[in-house]
Order: sequence, then C-alpha cells, then structure tokens
Amino acid sequence: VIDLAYRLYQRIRLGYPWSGAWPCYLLVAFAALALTAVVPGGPARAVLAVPVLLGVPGALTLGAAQARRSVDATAFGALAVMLSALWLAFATLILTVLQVRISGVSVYVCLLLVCCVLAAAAQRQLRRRAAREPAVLPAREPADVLSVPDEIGASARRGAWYAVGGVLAGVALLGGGAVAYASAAHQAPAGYTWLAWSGAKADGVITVGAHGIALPFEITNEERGTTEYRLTASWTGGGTALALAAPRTLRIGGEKTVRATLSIPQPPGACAFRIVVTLTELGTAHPQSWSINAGVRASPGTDGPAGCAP
Amino acid sequence: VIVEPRLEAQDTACLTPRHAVTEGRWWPFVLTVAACEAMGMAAVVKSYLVAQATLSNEAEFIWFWAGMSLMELPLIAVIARRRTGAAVRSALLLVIGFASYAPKLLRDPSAPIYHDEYAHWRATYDIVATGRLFSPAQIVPVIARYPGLHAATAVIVDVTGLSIWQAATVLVLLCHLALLAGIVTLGRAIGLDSRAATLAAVAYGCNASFLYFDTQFSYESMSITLVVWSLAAFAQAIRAQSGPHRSAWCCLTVMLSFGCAITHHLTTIELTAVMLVISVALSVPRAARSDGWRGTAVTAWLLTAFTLAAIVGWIYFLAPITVAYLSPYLGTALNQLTQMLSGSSSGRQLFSASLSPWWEHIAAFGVTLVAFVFAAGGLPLLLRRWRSGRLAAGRERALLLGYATVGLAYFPSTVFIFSPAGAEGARRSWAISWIGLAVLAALCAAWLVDWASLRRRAAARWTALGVLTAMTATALVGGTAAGLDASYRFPGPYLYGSDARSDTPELNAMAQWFLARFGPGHRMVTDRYTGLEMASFGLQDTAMPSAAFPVWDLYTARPGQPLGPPSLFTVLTQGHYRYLVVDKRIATDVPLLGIYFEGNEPGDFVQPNGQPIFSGRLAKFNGVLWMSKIFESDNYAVYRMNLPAGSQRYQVRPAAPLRGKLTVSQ
Repeated sequence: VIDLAYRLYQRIRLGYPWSGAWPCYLLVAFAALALTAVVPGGPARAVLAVPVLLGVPGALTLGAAQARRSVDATAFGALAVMLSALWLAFATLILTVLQVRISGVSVYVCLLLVCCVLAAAAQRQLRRRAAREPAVLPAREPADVLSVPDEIGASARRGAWYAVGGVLAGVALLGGGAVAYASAAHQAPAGYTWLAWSGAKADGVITVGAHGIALPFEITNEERGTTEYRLTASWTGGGTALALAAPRTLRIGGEKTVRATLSIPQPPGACAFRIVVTLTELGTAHPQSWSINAGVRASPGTDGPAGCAP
Repeated sequence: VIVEPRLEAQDTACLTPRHAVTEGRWWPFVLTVAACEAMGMAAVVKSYLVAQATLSNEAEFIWFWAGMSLMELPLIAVIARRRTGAAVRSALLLVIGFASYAPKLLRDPSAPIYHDEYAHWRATYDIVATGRLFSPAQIVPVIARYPGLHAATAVIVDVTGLSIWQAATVLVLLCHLALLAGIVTLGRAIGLDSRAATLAAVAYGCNASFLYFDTQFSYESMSITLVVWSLAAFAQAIRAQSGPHRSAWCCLTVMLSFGCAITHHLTTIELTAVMLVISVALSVPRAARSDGWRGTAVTAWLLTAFTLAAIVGWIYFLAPITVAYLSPYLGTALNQLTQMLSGSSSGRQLFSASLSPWWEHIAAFGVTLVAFVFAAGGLPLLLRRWRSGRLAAGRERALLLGYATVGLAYFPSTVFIFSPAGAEGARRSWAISWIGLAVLAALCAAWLVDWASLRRRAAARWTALGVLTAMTATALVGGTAAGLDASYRFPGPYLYGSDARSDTPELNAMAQWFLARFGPGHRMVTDRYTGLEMASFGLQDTAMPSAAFPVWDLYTARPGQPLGPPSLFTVLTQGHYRYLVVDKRIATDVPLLGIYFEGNEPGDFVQPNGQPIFSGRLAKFNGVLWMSKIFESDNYAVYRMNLPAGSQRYQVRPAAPLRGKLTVSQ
C-alpha cells in the first residue's frame, strides 16, 4: 500500500508539477474546504479554512489575470488575500441578486463555481505562457522587481520563505502579547445591583381579575460580597406613597439573583393604580435605592370611587 | 528611482562588507532584534495594565511609546540599510505590521469598543442571522448600503464558526498587513527601489489613522487597503507595456476599485480624486511624453472614469443616503473655516479635552513639521533628477509628480483640523494624502540615511543618524497622538461620554436582560453611549435623534411640565417606540466627547455653571403615568412607554385599603 501511494505521489508530482498545474491544485484545495465542516466550528476549523477561504480565490484571480509573476511573494500573498476578501463580498452580492439566502453552504457553492472559472482561465494562461513566452520578462516591466540590479538578497523562491518567516515571527509576537495581556491580573469591574420585573404581565397597565394577581420580579446583586436590603411595596396617589405590603429585609450574596413576587388583590374602582416596588440598601451612610413600577387596574366593568386622573 | 547621495571613492569604504552583518555573525544580530521585539511587546502590555487602574497616567504613555519604539525602530533601521535584501525587508515589514496591530488588538481583544465597531458588529450579525444584505443598519445607517466588510466577515463566520469578533479581528489584521504590502507594491510600481518603497510603507505607518483608526472593525479599515491596492494596480497598469500585462492590471484595478465602491463611500471618492490627479499628470506632455504616452493616458482616464462611475452609480442606485450623510460635513466645515477667517468664530481648541500628556501634543504638532521637512527634502531630489535627465519624461515621472501632488495636499488639509466639523474629514483624508507624502518622505529618508552613513567622522555619522531616529520617533508618536484621544487608545476606568470607555458589565447586563426579557428588534429611545450597546449586543433598534426627532426633549422637560412637543409623540407613536432607557449619569456628568445624543443636538445641554441641563429632571419619568419603570440598576433605568398617552386614568385620592404581599424565594 505504501509503495502504491508513493508511486501515485510520484506520478502526480512528475506528471502535474506545481508550476504547471497550481490552479488545479488550488481548486482542489478550495473544493476540500467542505471537509472542514467535520471539524468543530471555532479556531480549529478557522486554522484550516481561513487560509483557503482568504487565499485561493484571490490567487486564482491573479493567475487568471496573468498578474502572478508581476509581484513578489509578499505582494502576491497580500493581493490574493484582498481579492479573496472581495470575492466573499461579491459572492454575497451575487446571491442577493439571485435571491438566495446567504449562508456558509450557498457562499461555498457560489465561490466554488467562481473558482472553477478562475482556475480554468489561470490554467489556460499557464499553457499559453508556456507555449509562447520565454521565461525572461521585458526589462522595463514592473515585473522585474525581483531582479532589479541593485537588489541584494534572496531569490524569488527564497523570498516566499522569508515572507512566511515574517508572518510566523509576527504571529508569535502578537500572540505572545495577547496571551501575556490576557493572563495578567486585570482590574475588577465595579459591582452593581438591579431590580426588574420578570413576568410577562408587567408591561403597560395590568388588568387584575377578581382573584388578584402575582407580579414576579428579580433582584440581582453583582457586588462582590453579601448585601442587606429592605424591600418595600407601595402605591402612589395624590403625591404620596401608601404602603401596599409589609416590608421585607433580605440578604443577598455576591453575584446572586433572587426571585420575588408582589401579590395584590383586585384594585377597587375603574381607575388604575400606580404600584411601586422599592429596594433599599441597608448598612451604608448613603443608601442607594432602586425601584420599579407598574399600573394595575381592575378588569373592565368594575365600579368604584371617583378620583381618576389622566 | 535609486536614491543615493553622490558617492565618493573614499566614502564607499563604509559600504564594504566589513561593516555589514556577515554570514557567520548573523545570529547575534537576529537575537538582538528578537529581544527588542519581545521587550517592546512586554512594554506595550505593561502600558495597558498601568492604564487600567487610572483615568490617565503619564506612565502608560511612556511604557507604550518605549515599547512601540523598541519594536519598530530596530526593524526600521534594518530596513533602511542599503545592504538589506528586498525579501528580508518585506519580511521585516510584515513583522512591523503585526507589531503595529498589537495596540488595537490589546485594546479590545474580545469585543468591539469603538463607535463604528458596534455598528459593524450589528450589521454583520444581521447578515448572519437573516442571510440577507442591505437590512436597515443601526447606529450608522449608511453602512447598510456598503456591505463589503460585514458581508466578508459574515461569510468567514458562516464558514469557520468563529464568533463575529474573532472573524473581524482576522480580517482586519490581514487588511492591515496587506495595507503595508500594498504601499510597497505601489512604491515599486512608481519606480522606487525596494528600500525606498519599504521606507514609504514605514512612513505611511506614521499617519494619524494607521495605528488605531484603520485597525478598527470598520468599513474604512478594509477600504483603505483596497484603495492602496487599487492605486498599486492602477500604477502597474500604467507602467506595463500595452498588451496582456496592461489588460491584466486594468482588470485588477477595475475589480479592486469596484470592491472599494461597495465597501466605503469616502475612500472611494478619495481614490477617484487621486486617480484623477495621476491621470492629469499622465496627460501633461512635459511630464509624461514618451513612447505610447497617449495610450497610457487614455488607459488612466478610462480607469478613473470607471471608478467614478462605480461610486456614483452605487450611490445613485443603492446608497442615496450617502449624500445626506456626507454633505453636511463639508458644508459646515467650510462655513466654520470662513467664520474663523472672518474672526466671528474662534474655531476649535486642539487637545482641549485630551487625556494625553503635553509631549504627545507637541509631537502631534511636530509631525507636521517632520512631514514638511521630509517632503521638502524629497521634492528637490525629484527635481534634481528631472533636471539632470535621470528622471526622463514618461510614465515614471508623471506618476512621481502625481503622487507628490497628492502628498502635498496634506499640508493645506491640516487647516481643517481647526474647524469642529472639518477636523474629522481632515484626519480621514490623511490616510490618503500620506500615500503621496510617504513616497516623498521615503525618497528623502533613504537619501538621508545614505548621507549620514557616509560621514567619515563617527560623531557626525551617529549625530545624523540620531537626528533621523528622533524625527522618526516624533512622527510615530505625533501621528498617533494627532489621530485618536487616549480614551480610545488605552483601557481604563469608566469615563462618561467616551465611546470607548462606556461599556461596563452593568450596561452589558442590562442589554442582555432586555434581550432575554423582550427579544430583539424593539424600538427605543436612549442616549448615544447606552445606545451603542443596546443596538449591538442588545439587538434593539435605537432612535436616531435629529432636529426633526428631538428625543432630548423628553429629558430636558422640567418636572411638572408636559414632556416634549406633540409632534415628538406623533413620531414616537407612529414609529412604535416603546422603551426609554435612561443613563442616570446624564444628569450629573459632562460627556468627554461633548455629545449626549448625536452631533446635531442643541449646544446648550451643559449650562454655564458646568452642570448638565438634565440635572434634577430625570426623576420625573417615575411619575409619568404612561410610563412604567421595568428595570433599574445603579446607573440605568428602563421605562416602557404606553403610547399613545392619556388613554388611561389613574387613582389619585386615597381609596379603600389596597393590601398586597411580598414573597421572596432565596
């Protein structure tokens, strides 16, 4: 089996060398992008998919446009990335025009078709170049950037490896900085408390039936330690607050949420009542308080005292 | 253009290999540079850790610039050496690209914090969630019509399973690296050697937008790279002999400039302007006359016309909102400048609310001076070559002259920085004008490095190199200081009225509570800083205040007075605005940016005594009968507005006892 695989490899290598068939190889790489779906989504899949997604369409475009040899390795890579990113945007535009939903699958299929066309064009250009053109480009072309007489340094082939080295060094530098920053001790964020209605009924003016109603709410303490609070309920009218329920004192631990309920009977009359739940911090010189309110009224048809205000 | 001072026979001695890093001794040199990089990154990390604890501290700036200098200056020095190979320069430039991305990456490694980043995060989310482009955008409505960046990001999210922010970080990092490579390619295409072209990229890295603004998750970050590559392809098309090569680069120019048009409006307009300047230069016989120059000029004009048609067509058919979005800036800026010149207005006071230290302010002024020195040095070099016949009339001369013109546009544009409305536009134009300026600066810098290296006396040589290093450091510090304020650049405690320091766990919790409780897509009224979070992670639709929709009138009404004009309630009711989210600090704090809601709000929200007009005017919401307070935390309150108001009547007199019960389940 090993011998067979080796012979197959040799046959492909010798029969379809990289320099003569790279568009096809890139097309295969793009087609193989579908296989990354078996890898769990996230950084692991991204490591496999991003180089293909943000490299292949652009590289094939450069190949199809016969511009591959006109720039050095770094420029080729950078331009391929930008063109690939553009192809992603163009693919979404194409799908929008075709009224197809944009998703991973639809974009992949669209880009695969685009890559097929580009690979065919690039392969054709390679064949035409091999048949017609000498290896040396005209002297005054910008294409001669890799062989400017005053330049000292790596050859074009080695230039690509220098670029890879630069990317690896940069990734190490940036990654090192990010890890160092993430693992350092950070300032703890300021704590807080909140009070909120939690049931579906606490919006607008709530209609209360003959059996009354229970209005759920929740209190969250995001301070570090335990805090003591006083919980009160009242209804407001004529500029004063009138007690609605016996107050409660409660202690809530840090980063804890407590659920509570305000149960009220059916209000008298046809007017709405403004009820208020207030939470007050205890044990501090300047106690903070939080409140929520709602309007409640008896179900339609109930009569009662006058004194409603708009 | 091979830049070199006149070399005398004895001067060339210092260029001999005995002064070079020889084959056998390369590793101590590499290790030294690597150590500088590591120490530099450590210093930058240290600066951010220092910054977390205090509002603003000079130590954070010192650590930061020490780190950035350690990371960048040694690499720049190696790039500037004549003997460094082109491939090594490219590799080192990539390292500079990564190093210069570190400040932004560390600033917000896990979530957006800049104003436009929230908008693009939401736009990307909408594409991922709905599978459609052009959904109405929150925070910055115009971005919905320019989907280039968020469409590409959404595809990466869909294919890789990364979070939106991770995908955005990858894409913006790649754009940042490609930007530098694009400047090098552009430099090479207009005739610079690899050293000058790479130095041009380094010089470009000193512009005000490079380190932070053009590394944020915003459409401009992608489009500026597309602009540079469009110009590089444009220059390659011009430099190529007619035939397949020219056609190839023309195709790429068309593709890149169209990509630019679907990504960002302003940079595409600026791209068109630059192409126009180049086309004019290519049409001037004195500059461009050579074999086939008419054909080249026609090519340039056709490509310019295509780019113009692309952006005009895109605006006309798909993004007409762009005109209303951009036009007030230019009109107001010109008006303010006219007022300043006539003496009826004092203009904008630079660094008035800045948290950065005095020496950054001086460097910010100094960068203009340094740029002027380098430009003034680069121009005579060009002219000398022109006169001596070493820069013959033709495409190369025309391109260099065109880019020199673009670069010189930087200096008049700095005047707009004194106009409140023009400052932002001026800063954004620098990302373009610095392309040309970088070309001039690179010519001068390469010449100066050679000139300094040729001094026979060591003291003179090192003094000259020291002055060059100081000028580079000034440009690096000043360029960044002239761009964004410290509140954007450094982490730190909460700072009211700052886009980048308004995001707190409390605000996050409120937004998530609202989303979990009511679901996405509710229309709400709130201030600018709360709105950023609610419209992005909260997935709500926040109001866009304006003179026609003055939501601030809800806040400014005195207790006991009716809220807002009737027309406001008509808009609120018809627009199905159901929630009001109040940041209680609006009543006590003056925003760092000077804006509570939007830039078009009335200017009298801060009273002469320094107190906000909202002081003592927020508690009234608790007594408004058509509002229910459904959430309150330390700093935020959420009200449900039961509009239309007035349909429900409330009990105001004591009635029969109403008795309820509080039950708590711990």
